[in-house]
Amino acid sequence: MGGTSFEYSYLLILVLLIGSIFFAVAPLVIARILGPKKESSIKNATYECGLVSKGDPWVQFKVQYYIFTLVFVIFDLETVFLFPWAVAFNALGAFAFVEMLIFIGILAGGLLYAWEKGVLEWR
Amino acid sequence: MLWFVLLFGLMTLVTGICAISVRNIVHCALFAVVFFFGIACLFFTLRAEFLAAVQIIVYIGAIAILILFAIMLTHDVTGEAAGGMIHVGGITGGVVAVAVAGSIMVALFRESLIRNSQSLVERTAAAPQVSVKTIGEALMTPYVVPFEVVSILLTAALVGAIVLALEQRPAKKEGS
Repeated sequence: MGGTSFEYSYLLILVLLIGSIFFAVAPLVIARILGPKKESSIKNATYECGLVSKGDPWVQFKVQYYIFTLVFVIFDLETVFLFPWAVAFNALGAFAFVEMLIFIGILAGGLLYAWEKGVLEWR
Repeated sequence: MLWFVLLFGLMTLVTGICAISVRNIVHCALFAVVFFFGIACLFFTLRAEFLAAVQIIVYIGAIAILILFAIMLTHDVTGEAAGGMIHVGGITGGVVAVAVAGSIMVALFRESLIRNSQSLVERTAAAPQVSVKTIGEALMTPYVVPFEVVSILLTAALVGAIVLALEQRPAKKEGS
């Protein structure tokens, strides 16, 4: 099966992907090859901005972060529906615009509820 | 194209195995991200570009973040306190996995035999191409009502999540 226009249209993404992986990996490899390595116990010690670190680094985060994430997931799912809408937008006209306004409006109600319940407040 | 399928399939398989077998749970989550990306790439090779985009947006963008947050919120996920991996369900899980994979294989091969000699790759190429634009148009014209119902469903999920999460608030005092 040869390449069709579908494959070629995603070739650019593949090239970008390979390029970005190269940009991330190349400095690490070069540093490993060229960098001098003189290890000592002080050098390998954990540090926090120059201070000696205290306690267990694995602290439990506030549960509130998780509610933030749940709200984020809902609006991330909204993006899934915004995406085909945006692609087909030119062919659809004003009616689709109103439909999407209703869609976002209902979801905004959920956000208002979250706001009202104090989920968005930092305590 | 077939090489891409094999490459992405191998990538998905290897990172999937890593995601369930690596000791460090944060590394597991990161392997799961690559696994999700491999699935997205497989969708691309099957020309399901919308599914691939959804896979990246939802699974890598949201589910992976959710998993990482869940790890951050959990006590003692690393070190001695975490204990060993649970092996109790190993055999049952293995049997179920083999049964699922086997039934999918049987279904695929029977399908190929019925439509004699046309391979899955050929049939995928011959299938009508559904672009994101087509989905967008379908979503806005014949499927308007389900589309708006989805919004209500999402709002219900949001409200439900908040109600469930806030219910535990008074019990938790020593946190923060």
